Amino acid sequence: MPIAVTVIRPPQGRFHLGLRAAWQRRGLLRELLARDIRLKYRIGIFGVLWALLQPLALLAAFSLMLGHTQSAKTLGMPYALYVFPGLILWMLFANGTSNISLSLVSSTHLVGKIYFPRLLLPLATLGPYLIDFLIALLLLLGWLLWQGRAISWQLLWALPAFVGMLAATLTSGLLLAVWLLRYRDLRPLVGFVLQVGMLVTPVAYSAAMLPSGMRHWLWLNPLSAPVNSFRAAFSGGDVQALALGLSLLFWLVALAAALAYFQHHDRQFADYA
Amino acid sequence: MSLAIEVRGLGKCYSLGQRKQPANLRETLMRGWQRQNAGSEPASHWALRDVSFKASMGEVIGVIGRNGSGKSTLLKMLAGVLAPTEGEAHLAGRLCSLLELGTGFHPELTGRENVFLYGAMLGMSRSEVRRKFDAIVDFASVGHFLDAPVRTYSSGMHVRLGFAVAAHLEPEILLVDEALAVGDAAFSQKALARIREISSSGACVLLVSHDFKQITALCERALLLSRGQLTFDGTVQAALDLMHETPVATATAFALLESCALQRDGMAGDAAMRISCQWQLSERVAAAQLAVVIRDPADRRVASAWLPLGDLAAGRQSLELRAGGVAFSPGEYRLEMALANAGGAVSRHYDLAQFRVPSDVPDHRPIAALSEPENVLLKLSRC
Repeated sequence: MPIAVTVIRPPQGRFHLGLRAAWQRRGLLRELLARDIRLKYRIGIFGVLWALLQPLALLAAFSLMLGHTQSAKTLGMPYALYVFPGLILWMLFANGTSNISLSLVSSTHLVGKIYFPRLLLPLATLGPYLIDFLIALLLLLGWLLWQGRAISWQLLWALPAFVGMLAATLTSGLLLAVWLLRYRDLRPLVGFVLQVGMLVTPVAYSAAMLPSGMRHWLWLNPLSAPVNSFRAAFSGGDVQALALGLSLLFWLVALAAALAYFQHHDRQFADYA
Repeated sequence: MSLAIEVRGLGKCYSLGQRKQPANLRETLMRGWQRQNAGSEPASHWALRDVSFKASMGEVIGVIGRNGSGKSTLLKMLAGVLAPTEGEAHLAGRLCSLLELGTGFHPELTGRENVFLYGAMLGMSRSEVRRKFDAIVDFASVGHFLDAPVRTYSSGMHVRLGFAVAAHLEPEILLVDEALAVGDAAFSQKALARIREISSSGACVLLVSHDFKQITALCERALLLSRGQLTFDGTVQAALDLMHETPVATATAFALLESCALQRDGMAGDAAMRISCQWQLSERVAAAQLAVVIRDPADRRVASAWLPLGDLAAGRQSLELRAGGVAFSPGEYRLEMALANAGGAVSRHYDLAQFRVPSDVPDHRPIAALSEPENVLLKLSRC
């Protein structure tokens, strides 16, 4: 068997996404995923309850604020059920982004001592939040069936909306992970931006609930379309296919750029660790 | 012998005159501002420069040098952790770097789970870890703690388990950075034996250590680094001689004025000694500290103390010290001293003197007992 030769050189500054190197170490990715999921769900049934507590608490708070909305604007559904799909997709984005952004800073002891493709750390971080999302999704489907809502083909729109949001989560998470490692004093910014983000994205409301003059401003936010379409896929209403398509395109290009940016800094992480 | 490592002109430069990059945005902006005002390029520091060497399969090479000479930087670059600024290195085969044992362990996971996690970090597949699992657990001898969270482990168990996983990787190239300086004597022996085994199976081992006995025992060849340059590549003895030949500080005279008879003044069973030492300093040493270390026959550190000396000017320094306040078990002890500045030791001197504590001392309560060596604090003062 020929011996594989590793060549160590100064970073070349070449554009690459680093996906091949990450794929070669998928065994480690699996172990890191297992680690993060075990740590979160070690406590069994409570892990599942925790996964539901956060969206349900937010839902209760939203209902307090906007629960009195005319049912015409929520397509005849209870307000809480109407906004729940958008909310769980937003939670995936918010929890994913904030935890991915810390994935390098919280592993500096590893980054300075062992080499492996650093991309695996943020990827593995996302694991438990995807499971949270799936648990909430099951609750949502159960709730829809219990309310006697018909499941239609419109549900398939949830898939591109989910992919767009996943790309958005990784994009913002990867960029923030690099920035937080370099500039530790940026850390308070993440929570603040996510809070503002939740308010300017139609999570607690839908475009239809806004005054008509303000509606098109919403589409300047590339997170609006995935949340809006995801909700529409479950709760009915206009999926806004064009806005979703543009947003999906935007986030996929942004993700490629974020991956390249991450890889560009990959070899320098130990200098900051 | 086929080539395992080829390093050509490897160098690592840290800009801004600091070892580390700025850690926050405020600092970065301030430096940018200062640079613009000063109109000059940032100072840079080469932690390592122009290092070239070749190593063959089956060789065990010691890497020695003072603190800050670039040993760890070299190993980290070969391990892929740090990116070089210039030059390149070719490494043939699977590489395992032990820069720290059990780095990848998560305290909340069990030993069993951590074996798989750490194994994967080092580059083993799950099936490979499964195949070697029994051997790993056997080597680590953590017993029934295997299914307990690693946070409940003693530091010795932690290190043993970390080494056990790494030791079963069967690498072609093994990089060890002071990783074996931890743990007890029995573990050190076992670890050294395992490293010999790995090298005799044809692997190339690079070992950074401050323990020259370990280097002498394991290596045929040594690389001497000083201030980021590879200054010598040859036999271990020659490298060690060269390292001690050009110190900043040379101990010119040293005497144990009053040998350590157990004196009955002060506390019962107190060892007390007066030490006279002279140093020739080739340059000024700022914020100097003098360390006195006492080792037992098994070379374990049983007592030590640091004495701040302030700034020392170049030239001859002489000093008389009183050390004591510790009761020793009967046995032979050796004295070791080091002069250090803020950056670490500038000169180290082993086997300066020996003293014996007789076994017929009455009322003698051993604090620094041989079975459980614990680094106790000596009382140290200037006479």
